[in-house]
Amino acid sequence: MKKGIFIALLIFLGLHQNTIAQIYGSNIFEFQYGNLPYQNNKELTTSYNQLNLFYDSDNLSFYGKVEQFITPIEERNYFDLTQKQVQYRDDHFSIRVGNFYETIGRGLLLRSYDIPGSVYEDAFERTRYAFFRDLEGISVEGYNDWIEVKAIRAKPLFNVNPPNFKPDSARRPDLVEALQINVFVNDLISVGGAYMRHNPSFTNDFQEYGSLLLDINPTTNLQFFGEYAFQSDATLLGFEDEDAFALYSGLNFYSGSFGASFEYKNYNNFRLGQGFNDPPSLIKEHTYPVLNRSTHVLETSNETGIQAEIYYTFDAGHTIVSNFTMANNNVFIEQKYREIFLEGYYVVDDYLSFKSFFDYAHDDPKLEEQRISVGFISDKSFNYEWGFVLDLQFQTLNRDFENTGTENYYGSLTFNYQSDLSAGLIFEATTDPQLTDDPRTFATFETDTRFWLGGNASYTFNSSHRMDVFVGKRRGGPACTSGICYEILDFEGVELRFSTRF
Amino acid sequence: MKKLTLSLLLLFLLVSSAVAQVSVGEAAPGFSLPYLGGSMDDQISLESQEGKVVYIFFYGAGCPHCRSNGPVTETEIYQTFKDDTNFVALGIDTWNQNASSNNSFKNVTGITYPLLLNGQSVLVDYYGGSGFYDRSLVIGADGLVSYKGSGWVNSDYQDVVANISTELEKISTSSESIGSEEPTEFRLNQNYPNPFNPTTTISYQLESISQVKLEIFNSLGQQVATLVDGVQSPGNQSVTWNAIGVPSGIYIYRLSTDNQVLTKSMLLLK
Repeated sequence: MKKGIFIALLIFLGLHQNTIAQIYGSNIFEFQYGNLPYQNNKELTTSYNQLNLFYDSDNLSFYGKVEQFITPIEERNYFDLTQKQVQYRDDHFSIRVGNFYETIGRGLLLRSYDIPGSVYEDAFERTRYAFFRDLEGISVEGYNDWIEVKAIRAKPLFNVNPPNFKPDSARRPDLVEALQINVFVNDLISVGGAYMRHNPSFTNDFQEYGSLLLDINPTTNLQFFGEYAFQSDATLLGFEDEDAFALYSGLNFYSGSFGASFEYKNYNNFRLGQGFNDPPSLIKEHTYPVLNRSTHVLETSNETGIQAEIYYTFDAGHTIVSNFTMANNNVFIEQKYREIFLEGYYVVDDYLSFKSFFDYAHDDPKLEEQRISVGFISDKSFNYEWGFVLDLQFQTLNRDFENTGTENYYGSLTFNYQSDLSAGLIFEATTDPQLTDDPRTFATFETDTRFWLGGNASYTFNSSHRMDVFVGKRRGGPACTSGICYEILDFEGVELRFSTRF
Repeated sequence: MKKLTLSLLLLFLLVSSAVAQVSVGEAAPGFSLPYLGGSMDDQISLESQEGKVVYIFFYGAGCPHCRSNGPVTETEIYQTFKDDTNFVALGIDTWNQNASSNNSFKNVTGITYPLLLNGQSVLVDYYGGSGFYDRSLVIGADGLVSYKGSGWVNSDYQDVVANISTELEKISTSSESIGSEEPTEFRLNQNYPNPFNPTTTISYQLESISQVKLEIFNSLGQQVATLVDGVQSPGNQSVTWNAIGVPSGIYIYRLSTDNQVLTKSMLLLK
């Protein structure tokens, strides 16, 4: 079926007359010499290259991503066209065949993503590859001023298996078919609905889901939105324990320099397939390292919660932000997550600014109590010619089954020159037994403080070329980007990245 | 343009092959892994569970979903069958995390059955890839996979319980019809040689996976040595005691598990 559609599309595209065409793209080359801490093998020389190539001609476009990974260990190596796409698009219609990104509603049923520039590596496979979760199949969309219709038949990528994983079919175990319709009633209101059918590869069963969408903007500074998704056999709006459903809603308001937002979630039995849906987590995503890696990972098997945030910007440019997050899990035991976050930004003058934060969290899923994090960041510029950023962060927490508390330290000092050149040092330390313990010596729990010290530098040659260098030890751990959480591995050695646009 | 189109077409015509992995009804691949609380040299193997129904929970010690779902494997599965000597439950960490992380996992989930470490390669044998987690699997007494979860453990634990019940029922039916199999018993054997100087071997038999302690006491009741302190597999076990530096005399050795204690004496002659 897929072959037939694709061939028909090619015939149609072949008849299409081209007038204006362009080829453009980007390339990332990353070289590493080093190792992961606690790995028994010697230092490795690895090279990873990612080429993204685009060809546009009027309404027609082609896209391909080629990835290559080379190490001395042959079974980890690959050279693969990991994404390919043909697209036709005009003012009211588009069709995509191949690999593409698409989200149904607000991601309760289906969400795909790309973390641009990221290179993922798993401690077991030790193969490096681009981190994305796309869909492979076909997508058709039609739209005008008052209605938008999209239909998808595709297989989401199960991206924990690398491109060289065999068989290929194990990388895309789920098949989803979805139809979504959004109606723009007027400038203030849009309503929508979606239907999705899921076929896991391990069974012949089909699971069906529905979704209702609402977006209201009664005034320009007030927005209400929500989505309610459910499995077909669930009691509509029943919210029963045995049902599979997901409810997400939010309210945004701003007036002058003041803004506020409030969000609510209620998810139950809503881990779909191999995890191809990503409902909004409603946990503030921090960029501060000590907080980013302490994040709460959404548990869609059962989670309710709220997130509330207010901010105010003063005339001089100072800002204050306050955020409160609450999440309750009750899959088989009750667990609570609470977080209070305060952030202040103070502008001294055009050349000097300070930022600081305070964060308090109680995290049952990690058995962490009284997790307190603080940070101070100073940004100093000298006539915009050169400047430096000093970033100091500290975190302390307790786990009742461990005898000693855990402390995390982060410090960095970065110098920059004319926005083209920057160089800095990053220092981290921890007393966390889960990080100080050597996984090779199971009988012993090592508790000595662990340190990471690394230096990095980057130079932008021009708008098309940039080089980044890292030397030393880099701390890994959980990381979240745009609501997507994954594990980053520690690294010790030298890393060189060369980015090109053309 | 034509070449690019043709290349894309060829790529789409590539047909994927089937997933290579162990299926229900096939022989369960063997494994031998260290466990939480034990040393690298003291491992629990699948082979040592021969003749028993084995439940396996594949988890990642740092996996948030596994932490949420782990309690159901303890309360609904392990607690249901733990008193049946023909049943064994094992957790296998497929994220290959350290003992401290696994200790945290044990605390947050309340799991009391043995947790085996460094088991990602076992996951590959059973599921054909290292990216799976939060899965239940059951191996029958015949050594064949009788249940292989394709969903999270919170979604199929009732099916797992039903499958284990069926597999245990097969054993009792088989025992009734054959009536020859002697159940393994808890036993402490006399050390050999006895008297000894300076080494002797103490052997014993366990009827189920147990937290085991084997201690040596002198005639005054003072503890002289602890030879074993950890989780051990059912079946025959032995340990050698080197009594160098210990004075001659009568010594008591005591074998204790969670609910049973046996003692014997031995004579050291120098």
